[in-house]
Amino acid sequence: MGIKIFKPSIYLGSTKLSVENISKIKKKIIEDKIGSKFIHIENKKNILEMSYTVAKKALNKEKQKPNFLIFVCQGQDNIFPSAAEKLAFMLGLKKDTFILTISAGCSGFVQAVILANKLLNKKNKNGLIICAEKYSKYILQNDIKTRVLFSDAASATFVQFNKKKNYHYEIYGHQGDNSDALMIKKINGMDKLSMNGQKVFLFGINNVPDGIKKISKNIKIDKYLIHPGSKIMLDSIVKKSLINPIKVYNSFHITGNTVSSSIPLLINLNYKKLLNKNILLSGFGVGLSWATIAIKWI
Amino acid sequence: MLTKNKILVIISKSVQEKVNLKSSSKNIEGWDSLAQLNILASLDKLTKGKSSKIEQLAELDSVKSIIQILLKKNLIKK
Repeated sequence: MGIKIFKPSIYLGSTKLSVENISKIKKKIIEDKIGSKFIHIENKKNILEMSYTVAKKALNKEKQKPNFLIFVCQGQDNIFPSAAEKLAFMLGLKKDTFILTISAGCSGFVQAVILANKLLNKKNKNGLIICAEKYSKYILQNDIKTRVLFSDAASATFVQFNKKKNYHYEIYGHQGDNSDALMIKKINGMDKLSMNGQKVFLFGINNVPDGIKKISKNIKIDKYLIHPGSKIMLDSIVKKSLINPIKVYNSFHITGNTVSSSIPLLINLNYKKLLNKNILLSGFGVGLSWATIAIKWI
Repeated sequence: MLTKNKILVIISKSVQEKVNLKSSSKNIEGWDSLAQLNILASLDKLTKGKSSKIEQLAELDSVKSIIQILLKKNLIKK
């Protein structure tokens, strides 16, 4: 069967910072390699509050209650419990709503759609995927090269059961031996983000293009929504996947890498252009992991 | 096949400074993590993806060590 993905609601961190101002990195390098001139940081709201704000917006817009809620988040406010159940309570979701938390990064939204597609049926017709991440609280002020990449954001995306088959392919993988390339480590007693950008880069260009090429061989893809981690990464993946860059959307004109909300943001920005087209969604990152799907947009 | 000179050109372009066999991230100011990504992306393109299969390449931040590993993997002329 199939899946309809509604236009996601997006919450971007309330403080907008210029990458050039905070880093002194040359404009050309920002444009050519990093991608975005701005990042968004959230100084006031925590994960629960960001998620509630964006989910409330989505509920008001779609006027429906989901049968399940998939919450994608790594940097929760507490180690446990997950914010998901409290969020469901605050949103007034039914007591028998199936609630599940996925601890995932930039692959998280696509993984959640893969799961949602398996949960949706004639009885469970509606689902809600909420992604929220606030990496800024884990990045050291002097770790400029990491700081300029990530934005704090949350997204809420309704999905709905569709009688007609429009979900064509799913393909995914992992590389756990390099999991320490992107992780939270104790630095001076505090939890801080540690990223080996080169390892993550090699992981991305060694794995993601193969999946994209495999799917593209079987179905003509009209548009590609590939996680815009950084411009150099996205450009390299596009080149290696033998895709026409015109078919690839990015969100660098808005903000930096919004982790699991990056693909919802791409959907939000281009929603009308996706209708009736074959769309490929691909996310990759923490794990290290990657997931790619192809669906006909309805 | 690539040559040592071509590698020097690629790295020089990435770090925006002329490099030699003694150059590394320790003595070249522009050789930061972004420049390193640039080097990896350029090598990947020129070796048609073969260089990206070399996991150690992510850690190498000197001209000498990069040339040595590429020589070992037969990706540049001896």
